Formats: sequence, structure tokens, C-alpha cells
Amino acid sequence: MGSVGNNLYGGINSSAETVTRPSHCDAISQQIRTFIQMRTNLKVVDNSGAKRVMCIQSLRGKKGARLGDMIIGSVKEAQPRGKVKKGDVVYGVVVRAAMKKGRSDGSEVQFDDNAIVIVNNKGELIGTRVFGPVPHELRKKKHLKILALAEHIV
Amino acid sequence: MVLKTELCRFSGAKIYPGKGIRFIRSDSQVFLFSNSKCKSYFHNRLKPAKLAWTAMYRKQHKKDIHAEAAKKRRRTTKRPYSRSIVGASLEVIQKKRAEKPEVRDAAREAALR
Repeated sequence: MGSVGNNLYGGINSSAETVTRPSHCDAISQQIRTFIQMRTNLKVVDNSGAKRVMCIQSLRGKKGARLGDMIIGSVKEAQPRGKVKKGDVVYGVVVRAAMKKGRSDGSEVQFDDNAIVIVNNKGELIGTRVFGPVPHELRKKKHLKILALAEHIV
Repeated sequence: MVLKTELCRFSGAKIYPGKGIRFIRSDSQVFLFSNSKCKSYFHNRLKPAKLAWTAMYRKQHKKDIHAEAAKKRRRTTKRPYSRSIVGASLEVIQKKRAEKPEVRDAAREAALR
């Protein structure tokens, strides 16, 4: 459990900071989005049955997962009749991340929310449909099935 | 030049390759911003039409539109173009056009009498 503890400390140091703009601008503060780490709540965008998953381990990166990485999560909320139930420990691939990811042409991509698609530990999809936009960064990570099922590739 | 510049969704500025931020909303709509200033304004829900430095404001308040309109009005004037029609071939039309007015008057008098 030592590695889990280290992860926790690492997570606290790089947690999301809130930068509030001066009051004359607007009441909405802007956040500097960071990695997907332990305790991050993610939306599930396939039809595997789960609705929300909490990340318990990022399988790549010391600070956390980014767009296109795999994580291990615990299902917190699930639909009544689905392939996964509440409390299951599942693997997932991050398909949308609120943190900017650099592209090879120099631009950066950023989504509105954090979303995953549930896979098994070999990387094969459990669900049969994927909702919402997905980035084509997944092609490089060899998650071609997700790209095939996606309704909108960005 | 082969590079393709895109336009910022907020300010209308050109985005060269290597710059800019692409924000994809959950409804699959893509927004291109030229810098974090535009992105920040967008997320704070400010309207570009209210900020004087954006292209949308300038278009709405009709700034710099006279220079553009003047450039467009340089059309060529129409040249008289001769075509033959049924009843009068091209030579007949040209001959009639080249007649002197006295000759035409004399022909008119002769036809009247």
C-alpha cells in the first residue's frame, strides 16, 4: 500500500487550483485543470451500465492520468440493469479530459468534462456504444474500437 | 504559403499553426481560440460583440467597411457590342450606324414623300 500512499501525497501537491478573477470581471472563477488522479469522479460515456466512476489508480504517469490513458476505477453509480454494478472495480480509458493536451501541430485540445469508457484489463471495450466527442489521440494509443464506435471524432 | 490559418471563434484573429487552444464542448461543438485571453472571456461568458477589439464588434459597428466597399466598385464599363440579328446582318447594322446624319435625313424625307 506504500505506492498508493505516495500517490496520495503526489495528488495533494498538484490538486486543482482555483484562480478567481477580480470581482469586476465576473463571478465565475476559472480553474486550472490538472490530472485525473485518485478520487477523481469521472463520467462514463458508454452503455456498460455504469454512470459515474471514481478513479482509484492511474496506470500511467506519476501525477495522474491524462487524455487517452488507462485508469482503474470503482463504480460509484450504475444503472439498474447493466454489465457492471455499483462497487465493481473496473479499468477505463480516459476519452475526455478537462486538462489541455498538446497536439503535434502545436495546438492544444481541451474538453468540457472528464469522461471514461470502461474496458477490461486487456483494453477491450465492455460496452457497445460510445457517446459524445472523442479525440483522435486514441488512435495513437491503439484504442481503435473506441474510435470506431464514436459518434464524433475531434 | 502552404500553411492554413484558422480563425479565432471569439476575436476573429488568424490562428497560425502551433498557436491557439481548441475547446470541445460536451455537445461536440468545437471552439478555436487564438490565445488564453479569448478563451478566458469565452468561459466568463462575455460577448465578443461588446468588446471593441474583436472582429465581431467592428463588423457590427461598421468600422473600416468603406475601404472594402470602395475596392469592390471598380467594375469595367460596358463596351458597345455588335451582334447580327434576324432581319439585319452585321454589315447592314454597321453601315446604318456609320451613316452621316444628313444622309439619314435625306433618306427619311425621300421615304415620307
